[in-house]
Formats: sequence, structure tokens, C-alpha cells
Amino acid sequence: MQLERNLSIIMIVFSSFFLVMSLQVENRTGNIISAGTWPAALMILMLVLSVILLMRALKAKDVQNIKGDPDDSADADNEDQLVHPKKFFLLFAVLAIYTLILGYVGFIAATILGIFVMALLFGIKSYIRALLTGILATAGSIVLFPILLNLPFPRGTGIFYTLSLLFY
Amino acid sequence: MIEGLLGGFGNLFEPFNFFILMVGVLLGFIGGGIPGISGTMLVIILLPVSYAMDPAAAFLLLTSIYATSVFSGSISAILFRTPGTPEAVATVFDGYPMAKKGEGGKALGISIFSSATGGVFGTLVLIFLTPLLASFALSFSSPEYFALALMGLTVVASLSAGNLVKGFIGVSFGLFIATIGIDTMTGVPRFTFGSGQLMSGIDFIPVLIGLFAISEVLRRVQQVHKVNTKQKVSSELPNWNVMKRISGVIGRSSLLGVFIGILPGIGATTAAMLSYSEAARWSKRSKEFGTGIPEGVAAPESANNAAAMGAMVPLLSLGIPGSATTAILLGAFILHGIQPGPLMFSTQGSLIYTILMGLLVANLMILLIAKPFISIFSKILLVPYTVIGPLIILFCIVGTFAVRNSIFDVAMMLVFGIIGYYLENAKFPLAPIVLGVVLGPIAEDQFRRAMQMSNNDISIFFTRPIALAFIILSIISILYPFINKWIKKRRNQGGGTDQTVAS
Repeated sequence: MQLERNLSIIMIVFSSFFLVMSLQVENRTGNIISAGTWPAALMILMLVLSVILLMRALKAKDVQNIKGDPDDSADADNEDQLVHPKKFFLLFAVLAIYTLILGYVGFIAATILGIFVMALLFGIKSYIRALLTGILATAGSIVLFPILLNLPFPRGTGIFYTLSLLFY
Repeated sequence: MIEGLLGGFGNLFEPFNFFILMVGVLLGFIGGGIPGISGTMLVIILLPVSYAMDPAAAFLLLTSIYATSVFSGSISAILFRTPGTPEAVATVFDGYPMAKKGEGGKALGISIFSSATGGVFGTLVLIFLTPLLASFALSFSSPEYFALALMGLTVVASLSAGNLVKGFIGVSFGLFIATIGIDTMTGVPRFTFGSGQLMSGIDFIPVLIGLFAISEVLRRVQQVHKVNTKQKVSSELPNWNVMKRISGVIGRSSLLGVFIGILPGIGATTAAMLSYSEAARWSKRSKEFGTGIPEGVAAPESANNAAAMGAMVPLLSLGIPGSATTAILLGAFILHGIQPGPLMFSTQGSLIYTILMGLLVANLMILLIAKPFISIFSKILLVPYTVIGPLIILFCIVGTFAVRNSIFDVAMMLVFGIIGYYLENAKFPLAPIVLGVVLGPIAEDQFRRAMQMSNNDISIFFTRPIALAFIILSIISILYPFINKWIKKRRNQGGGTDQTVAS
């Protein structure tokens, strides 16, 4: 319920911000229905619904407070399943770094390193197996995509660019 | 016509043509099965190769890839929650829960059966009803298209029954995402914040992969992964009882799929999504949809294959493509010096009938080849999730990157992965967001065009019979959950009073 409440607050902020933005979209044609009308209508709808959702979440919270939070046991079950909550942030960080460096170090280096770290995060114990997973996955994708299907994969810059030319 | 079809059948079974058809079927399976390689992409890649062949072989190759890739997108959708092609996104909703319950083989079998049936039905419609159906779709104008898109949107929003508010928030969020970028009608940039990449908008593939696949991987990384037991996943074709159970759904979805496929610009993805929600709406088990039931796999799979064939109708009869892939096929025809259109039946009759018979056989091949193909393909399941997880992420990254060769899209996929993760934790239905993104451009463009047509008089939507019919259906579908709830409440109250009186 707390998550629902927080999400509805985020949605209220989101829809209010973009409602203002929509109203500021330039009207080149002078028509009543301009480029900003459709998104503005959507944001009004989203704003109203998010307020309803927030009110419901707050109401539900009050009821829970009186009844003594019946969701406690369900939450405990959920926590049992997701035993490594930190890994969520770690994986997100790895993916964010991967996306950031992809353009600079190219597909080969970024993917070998990325898959190696991800395999360790997912629970592969042996470093060698994780590295092999990274190398084989990268090799497989290079054969399939840039070589066989002519997809222009990112090459990176400098030495990474030269390295990529050896393969695709 | 019969002579033409027999001639086409004869051409098809010439050894080289038949060999090419088989190659096309297999390539379509592989292409559709691997996330990141869509049927559209394969057709584009093989277009230059086909130029070297004679037209019959070239179009057998391209059209058989097109027909079979629509089916095989469901394999990874069912097994890994990653749709191999965008058309299979609705298959995830029930296919993956079935696989999670240990019914992966059953789900795959239902997908094979439904796809083949939908595809064959679509091809038969393509063969026999082309002129009639094309003329009906031709009478559609902007108000009708907007009303149709509106109906699609309200249908999925009401699908999230009980979570109607969340469903509509999802739809409006999806529709809003579709507005980002340069406005196609006036050229005004919207919500781009000066970013060049946002000018071309947010493609729906990163949204789709992020919401469904990345969010799942982000969840599973937090779990402890046990070593997979050597469970053999083989597809099992549905038995008589299941066939009987899903036959009505397949029939309705195939019809709906063909109809939507024929309408230009609304492709198999929308057909699958719409037929899924229609199946949920009319089913006695509507509350079980999303938990892993055969109807939830049968509906989108029969509809997307039927729609893929339906999209060929305007292409062959009028020279207007009904979807992205058929637009590429149109280019292929022109590349071979052939102009698709009404005259094609008289000038290229033999080629047309060969293509039609090829499509029929390719769809039947799904029944024969899919089973052994899946048993090889599903060996991937024996690999532990510690290896599969990073590989799924890799496929997601490559699949997203391949659409527009854009690292920005990969970043968008990640953003929507996080959004999907938190929304799912708060029990938000994700399908309405995807539907909003897919239908957004059609809904907005057609609405604005209709308003231009009528000088901003909104009555245009209520004075045209087809548009009015769609709008009435939309209103009914929005109000239906409320009316249903009210009736149940009244009934319960009535029951309660009776009991009190009786006691």
C-alpha cells in the first residue's frame, strides 16, 4: 500500500508537470486542436485518476491501521522469495554502466565484461565459468548479428575500434 | 480461380521452389524464436538475396518467413517471458504463467495449433474473400479509425477489472509516451527537452522489452536459483477436450485477426492484443485470464497469424500495405518490376496463386515442423538461470539496439525495466501501457484528421454509422465492469435480505 501511495504521488507530479508542458507546446496551425491538446487531455485524465488512486491508498491505509495490517504475512512471504534485494540495485548499476560505456569501448569489450559481472551476480560461483559465459555469448552474438545479418554493432573508439575491425 | 490455384500448387511443388519454401519456413522459425530478430528484419535482410532469384522463389522465401515468424515469436514468449516478435506480446500474459506452472509444453502445443489454424484460416480468407473484404476496409476514414483505436484502448483498460483506475492510468501513460517526439502533423517537437534522440520518439520495442523482460530479470536476480532438473520440454498438441475448449476462441480470434489485419496500419500486434482482451471479455473464465489458461494463448496466437495473412489482402488486391512487413514486401514487388494492385491477378496470376498456395503450405508446416524445432530450441531450458539470465539481458539489449541502431533505445529499455518492476510490485497491469504506446499514434493522428475533416465538429464521430457503432461498443466496455458490479451488489443485497427473512 505504501508503494501504491508513493507511486500515485509520483504520477500526480508527473502528470502535473507534463500537463503544464503540454499547454506550452507551440500551436503552429492556430487550430483549436493543436499538437498539445491530445497530450494535455491525457495528462488531465492521468492526474484525476492518480488523485483517485492516492485517496484510495490513504483510505486503505486507515482501514489497515484499525485492523492491524493484514498484509504483514504476505510481505514476509514476498521477502522470503526475494532474498537478495541488493542485487536489484547492483544489476541496475551494471546495466546502466554497460549502456554508458557501450559507445566508447564497443560491443566486444563491454559485453564480455558486462556478461561476466552479470553471471557472477546471478550466482555463478566460478570466475572462469562466468568469463567463459561472457566470451561465448559475445562471440555468438557477433557471428549472428554483425557477421551474418550485417547489423552495425557499436565499435567503440581508439584501440576498441581497431579490435572490432578484426571481427566485424 | 480453381485453375489458378491448381497452377500455383504445381509451381509450388517444383523442387527448387519447395526447397526455398522450406528454407523460408525454417528461417522464419529461427528468426521469430530469437528475440531481437523479427520477421520484418529477416525479410529486409533477405530482400537483396531474393533479387537474384526468379519472382516465384523470391516471394515464396519472403512470404514464408513472414508467415512463420509470427508463430515462432511465441516460443520465447512462453518459455522466457520475452516475446520473440512484437506480435507475441499478448502471448506472454498467459503463456508464461502456464510455463511457470510446468505446462510449458501444453502452452507451446496450443500455440502451434492455434497459429496454424489462424494462419490457414487467414490464408483461406486471403484467397477467397480478398476483393470483398478490401472494399469494406476501403470505406473506412479517419473517424472510423479513431473509433476503432478507442475501442481497442477501452477494451484493455476494462480487462484490468478490479483495477480499472490503474488500467486507465496505464493506458494514458502509454498514449502519452507515444506523443513524445516530433508531431507528425505539424512538425512541432513535443517533450523532447532539446534531445535529438527524443525527436524521433520512443520506439515501442524498448518499452515492451523493458516492461516485460528487463523487469522480470531484475526480479529474478534477487532470487536463489536452483539447478534445473533435467525436465524435457516438448510441445504437446492439445487433446480433444482442450481443442473443444479453445475452438470457439480460435474461431472468434481468427475472424477478428483477419478483419484487423486487412485494415491498413493496424497490424498483427494490435490484432493479438485486441483478440486477447475480447477473449477475456466473452469468456466464462474471464477472471482466470493472466493466470495461465489455454484460451489466453489460443486467442492472440490465432489472431496474429490470421492478421498477418489479412494484411496481405490490401497489398495484393490494392497495392496498399497493411503492416510494416507487407510494406517491405511491396518494395520487394517493385524491386522485381511488379506493381501490386487490382491488375496483378490478370498480369501476374501465376505468381499470385503460387504465393497464396505457398502461404497455405507454410502455415500447415507450422503443425509439422514446429514440434521437432521446439524440442531442439527448448534445450536452452536445461541451462541454469545463472547463465540464461545474462543471455536474456544480452538478447534484450541486441533486440532493442537492432531496431534503430541506437544506444539511446537501450537506455530507454532500462528505464522502462525499472518502471515495469515497480509498477508490477504495486500490481499495476502492464499490458494497457503497451497497448497505449502501440495504438497511440493511430488514435491521435486519426482523431486530429477527423476533427480537421469536420472543422472541429465532434459530431463527426456520431453521425457516421461505423464510427458510432465502435464508439457505442467502447462506452459499453467502459461501463460494463461498473454495471456488472452494481448488478452483483444488488443481487447480493437481495440474497442477504432473503436470508434475513428466512432466518
